[in-house]
Amino acid sequence: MTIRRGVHRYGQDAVLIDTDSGSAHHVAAELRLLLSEQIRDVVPTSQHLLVTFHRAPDIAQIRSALDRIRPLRAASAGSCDVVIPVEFDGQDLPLIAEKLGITEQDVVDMHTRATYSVEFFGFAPGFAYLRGLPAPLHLPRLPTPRVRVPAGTVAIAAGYCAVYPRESPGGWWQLGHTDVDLFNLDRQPPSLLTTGGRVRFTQASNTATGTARPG
Amino acid sequence: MTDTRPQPRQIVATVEDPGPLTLFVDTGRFGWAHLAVPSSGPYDRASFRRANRLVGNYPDNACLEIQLGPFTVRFIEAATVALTGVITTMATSTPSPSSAVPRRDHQRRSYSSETTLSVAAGTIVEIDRFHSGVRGYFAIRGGWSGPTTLGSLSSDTLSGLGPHPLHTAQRLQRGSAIAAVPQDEGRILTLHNKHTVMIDRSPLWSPAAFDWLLSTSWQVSPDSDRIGLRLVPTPSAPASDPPPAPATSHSVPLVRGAVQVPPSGSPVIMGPDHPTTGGYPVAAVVTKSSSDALGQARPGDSVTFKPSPNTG
Repeated sequence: MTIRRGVHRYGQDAVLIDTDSGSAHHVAAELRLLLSEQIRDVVPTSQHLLVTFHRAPDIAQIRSALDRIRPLRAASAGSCDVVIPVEFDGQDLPLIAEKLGITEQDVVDMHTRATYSVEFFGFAPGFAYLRGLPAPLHLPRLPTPRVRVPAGTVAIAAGYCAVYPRESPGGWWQLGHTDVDLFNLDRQPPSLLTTGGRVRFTQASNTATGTARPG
Repeated sequence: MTDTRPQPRQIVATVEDPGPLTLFVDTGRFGWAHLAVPSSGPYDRASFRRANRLVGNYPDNACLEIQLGPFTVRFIEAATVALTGVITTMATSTPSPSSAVPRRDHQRRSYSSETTLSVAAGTIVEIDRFHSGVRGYFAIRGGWSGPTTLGSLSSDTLSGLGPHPLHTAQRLQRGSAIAAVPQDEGRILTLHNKHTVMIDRSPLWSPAAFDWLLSTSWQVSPDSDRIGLRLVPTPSAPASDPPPAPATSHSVPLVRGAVQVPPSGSPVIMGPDHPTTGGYPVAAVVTKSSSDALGQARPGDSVTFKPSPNTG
């Protein structure tokens, strides 16, 4: 299958490839197979794929490799989903519920009913931008970021959901937290999530009403 | 090329004064950008490689990146060292066992940077606050050694991966990866406070944005670090506003040298600890050699952009 994708020089040792939303990771995986020795790093985002090389790349060779990429097959539902249990005790949950004119439990149910996919990593090591957040929960980033967001915080902004792998500043709306370890340097690979992978969230306890869910 | 044999390590020195900021740097932390891990590594890569050549190391042996100085280290074992990238003085002294003799009288000798130095066990090396330049690369024959994170010893000031900055009383280890005999290059370093920075076009913004960079006189802001070098318009030469940003505000991938322009209008040139993605438009990409030279730029230095010979 030949899809004419834009391939642009991006500095001396890198190219930026225009990709369809959600397909950058697949193009990256295919290029890694075809040009393995030459590639230093890949960075997929929602609309682009960055490929950096050990030496200045030959654009014609890259175009030729792109022409040989196999079609992306959609992952079958339920296969290899990562399930993340969440304590929905985030400081912004009441604000979001009020904004939407629904209960906090309604917000939780809306969030946990969706299936998410890892679109790309950015901002900090292991910080995965998850696509699939229901439209009513699409809110812009906070006008002023918070200085300290704890590790494990589950948050939403700009149409994405994310889990902060480590403590950092952050401008996303905080829904709750998880004890799941998303990024661990002693693990191989260090990240629990991979680009293109599917993620679901579950409610760890009935926090909104304050009662524990039976185990 | 890289020596991948297991490296025996030896404690070779103790830090007496780490200065304002001294970090371990090897070539960088590559292969993990897809997980948003910055590549880090030396700011001035050319000077880093030269420091390794001066002591006969492999090109990717770890060095210390000393920012501004001063920096003092006491060697427990004999060593061959070199400092590159900056203009400064290094003094060696060998303390007498008797504390009655003041340090300044202990067979003190002075050397300039950019030379290969052999020191005996017990020698104290005092590097002065740099006269010119910002980041000096202090290499030891065999390479500085320590535990790696994701395959690299480099300190990453953005994500916190890698070792902490050096502290007083820290014990430093040396590896045994030696490639060649030490090669004193007899280099006379000249550093300027006016920088001509070569740029290539960015696929992410308009020719008008590229031209806006070319037609403005810039100055290095004190708000600059290993993550990015920030520019402000020279006060005497007011700048026009940047052209309108592209319509989409999706995060885009970033490379070392990418010139981001946030809404403030102050361009930021991505440094070694740059984030892997960003939400601001990218107007151009600085060439590798210009990007290395910016590692020696001080606040107040002037910056003028010029199109690189490669660019259309």
